[in-house]
Amino acid sequence: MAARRPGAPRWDDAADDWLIREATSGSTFSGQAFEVLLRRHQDRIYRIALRITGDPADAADVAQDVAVQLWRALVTFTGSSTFSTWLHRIVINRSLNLQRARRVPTRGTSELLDQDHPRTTGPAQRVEDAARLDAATRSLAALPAEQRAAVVLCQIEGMSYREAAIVANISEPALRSRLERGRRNLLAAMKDWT
Amino acid sequence: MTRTGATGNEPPERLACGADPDALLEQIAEGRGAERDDHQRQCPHCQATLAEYSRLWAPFDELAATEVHAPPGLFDRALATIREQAGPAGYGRVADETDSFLVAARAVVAVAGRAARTSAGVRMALGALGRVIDPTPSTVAAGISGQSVALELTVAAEYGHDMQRLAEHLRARVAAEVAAQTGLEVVTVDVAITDVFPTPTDHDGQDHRPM
Repeated sequence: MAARRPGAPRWDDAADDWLIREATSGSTFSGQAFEVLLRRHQDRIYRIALRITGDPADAADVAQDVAVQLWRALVTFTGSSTFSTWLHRIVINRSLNLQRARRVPTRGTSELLDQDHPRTTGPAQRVEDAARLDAATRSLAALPAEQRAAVVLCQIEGMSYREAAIVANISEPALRSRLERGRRNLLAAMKDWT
Repeated sequence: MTRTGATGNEPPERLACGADPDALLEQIAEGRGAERDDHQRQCPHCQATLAEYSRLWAPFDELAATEVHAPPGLFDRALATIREQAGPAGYGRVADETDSFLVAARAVVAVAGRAARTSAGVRMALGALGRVIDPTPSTVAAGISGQSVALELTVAAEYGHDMQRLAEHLRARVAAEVAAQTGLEVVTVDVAITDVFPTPTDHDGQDHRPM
């Protein structure tokens, strides 16, 4: 099992269940229940979209799209496990679809170019650290889609292999295979960068 | 040092000691780099590879640990559409001798809901307009009329609280917050406690109460 992301809030199933029930009840509380539910998960939605797309503007587009989709589809949810799975799945799929639609040219992860490496001299450690983090972000965004989803779910979101496999709608061995290849690619990219 | 295939699809060669580099990478990626087995404690190949993988993988751990917040206002456009469909309609009018202004019902219930959610003993709460009873013509009007507003709360309480006192506290707090923030007079706050939850705790035993 991958380590849970440090500082990640736990998924509060009971509160989400309650909000989903209120949101789908058709009562006078429905609208506010949805808004509270969305705001509780807004950082998660945006974070996943950002790590998948690697671009803040694209992540914002995905997040807004997910908000509308969530409102339309909420009536079909039966519980928080369905909700959490659906939420992760829809954010990842929308993020990947957006990139496909825009035909974002993705370089292979081993193709981070020389010019990606900042020409810093002297003891500018912070610049170097930021550049390394930026290289990691871009190498993640350049992974093949299936590997990227597996890495984001397990390494960024801290899901277990089983949870991530359910979200990706594949078997756990298949998920682990994608994750293994993804990690290997990321390592190769960072090796080339340094 | 092991070599990794350019596509990542080719398994890397085994180390000279026979260890699987993918297993070592998994060990690092799962945060178990310091948990060396007997072989790894003795083997220079494994130690060197673990050190190298740890260095190369560090930016991804940092990426995972970096807090990411949605930009302010990200969902405002989507929520505005949804509020039009599902939010309360109407306005209250706050007037003094010289001036008056309108307060949207959706703003009033937003204040009420937030005031309730941030109250002690409340795990989750929502606000809505209640009903204003006008005694003169004996009619029931929408929950906001002139300078008066009636509110309803639905609440999921934390386990272990006196519900009667909780309801009284919520009535007083919500009425005070709405009056202070909107200028409207709160005539009633009906409270329905519809569920009770244990206080959420994580494996570290700490209280992780959501706001």
